[in-house]
Amino acid sequence: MEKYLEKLLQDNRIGFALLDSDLRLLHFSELFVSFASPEQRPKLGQSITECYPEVVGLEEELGRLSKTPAESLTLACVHRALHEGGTHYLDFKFVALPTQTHEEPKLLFTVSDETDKHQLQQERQQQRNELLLLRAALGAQQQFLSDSLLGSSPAIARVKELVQRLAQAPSATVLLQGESGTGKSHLARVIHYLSFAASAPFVELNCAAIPENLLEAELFGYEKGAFTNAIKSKKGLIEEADGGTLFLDEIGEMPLSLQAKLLHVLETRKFRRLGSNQEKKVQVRCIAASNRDLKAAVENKQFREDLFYRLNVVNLEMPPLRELGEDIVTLASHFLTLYNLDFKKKVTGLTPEAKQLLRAYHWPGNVRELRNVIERAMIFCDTTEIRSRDLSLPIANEQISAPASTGFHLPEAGIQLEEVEKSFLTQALTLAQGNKTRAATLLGLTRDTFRYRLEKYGIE
Amino acid sequence: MIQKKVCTLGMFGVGKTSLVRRYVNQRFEEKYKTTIGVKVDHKLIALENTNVNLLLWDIAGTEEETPAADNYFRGAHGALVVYDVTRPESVQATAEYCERFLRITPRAKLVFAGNKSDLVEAGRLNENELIKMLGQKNAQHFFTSAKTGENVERAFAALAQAMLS
Repeated sequence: MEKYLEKLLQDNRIGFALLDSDLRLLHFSELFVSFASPEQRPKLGQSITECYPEVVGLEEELGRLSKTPAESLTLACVHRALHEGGTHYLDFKFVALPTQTHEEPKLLFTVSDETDKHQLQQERQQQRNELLLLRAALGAQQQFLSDSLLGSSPAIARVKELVQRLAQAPSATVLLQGESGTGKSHLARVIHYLSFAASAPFVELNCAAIPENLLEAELFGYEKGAFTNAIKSKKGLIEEADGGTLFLDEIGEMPLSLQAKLLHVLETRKFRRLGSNQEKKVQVRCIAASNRDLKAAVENKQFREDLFYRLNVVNLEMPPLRELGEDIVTLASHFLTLYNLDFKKKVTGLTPEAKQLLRAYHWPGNVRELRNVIERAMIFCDTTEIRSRDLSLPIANEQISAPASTGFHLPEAGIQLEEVEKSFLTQALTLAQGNKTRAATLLGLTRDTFRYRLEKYGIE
Repeated sequence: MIQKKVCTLGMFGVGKTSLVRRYVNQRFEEKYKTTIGVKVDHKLIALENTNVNLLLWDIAGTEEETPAADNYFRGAHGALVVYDVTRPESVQATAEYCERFLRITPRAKLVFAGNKSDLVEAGRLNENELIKMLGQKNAQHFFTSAKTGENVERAFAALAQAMLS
């Protein structure tokens, strides 16, 4: 009987063994040996758990099974690295054999190589899981981007809500307005990454940073020979941004002649490289930003009215930092965390006085200034919390805020603190005839602090 | 020698296979390959002068609740319950995996591993909040990284200790 059984199973590529109720090997086939753990070759009388470690833990269950004929237990898709190499997927099955009364119960243990079937299953599952992981990553990215607009003040909540809506309208043109340093460039990136795939281009151009005569070539590109130095053709930024976002910062500084050409691109989604007669089509979302009052610029004929209205499809105003209340402290804490990592420090927070000072200051340089203030404070902070005096804000410094002692008055329009600081550093150096130790003493600073500030502002 | 069967539980893609690979072979592979079925590995450890053979059952993170899938859990002495610190849904899923596992092996010990900690900025993980979400106050919890090896040995050692006690 066993011989017939062996032939039948062998022909079907199924290894088998007969086990007693203590799970000891009574008989096994050749194929059963080849499917066993490479570390232990099966031997008669040996416990099955020694050559098939996957059976460890199932002893109790199999003992019960051996007494209930026709019942079975399956372990599907068990990985096995076989001698011939590669991973195989094996299916294990235990069946209780019918026995005569008083006869020792027996179990039939079969092992079949189901690699082909399970490999297909693996490939299907791999595709499904990769897709789900990709979706989860995308969701996390969106959440991360949305969270990167820190704060919960009503003004920031409004911005967040608008940004989410804009993500659903990836072709809508957006005009970002707000004071310098409020984070318009960051906001443009958030809108872009929420609207498009991560691989879509985000192309940024600061209209004020490029000389007027180069701006057109930069934006529209050119063909070889279009002008004296055009020795080869070059794509412009509009073309580079195809399928994504073109972010034009400081749009108010764009020359009027170029404004007309930009309007044409926005209206028709077509453009021509310099020196070319051929129109090219592009699919670009334009996000423009300005810290100038563009409406006033239109009235003063410094900005085209038609372009203003074309850009102003959605207008998003970034609020100045001084209007954000408690968000100022949230942002400061965020920068503190970042600089803890950068400077390998363990500053835990800000003292209540320091927080109060942050709320009270008028922040002419907005978030950019706050970041610099926290960076400076973190460098010099030698306690676990940033104190108000670490912040070096003018309202904390009696020498600067008290007119009687220094003669300095803060104008109502505010000041650019960094410019004032630069000026003081230069004046101190001049007065001290280049002696840094003396110059530092004049400003009540240590020599190291003084040198750090000189380096920061690039003062020789 | 004492043999202890340990299962890894958790959603697909949380890094169960990578944790076992790091623990047994001190290796990490960036490429993701979905596990189907089960892969049994083993590691010999010495614990309080006792040699213990840990049989590590790296079980596919499938949602299927079938008798065949339950057979993987039978006779287990403990489980490393793994979630991905960057995927909140994987934290929530641990409850279901634990419930299924403990239904088959009610006396088994659990240890939680918040894996992929290398992907999250230090200080951004709130352990107390996570433990509350996991709903298993008595089980130990570790933030692990199969990539850097952070806390991997400690998590398995804690589980071995719990199973022996």
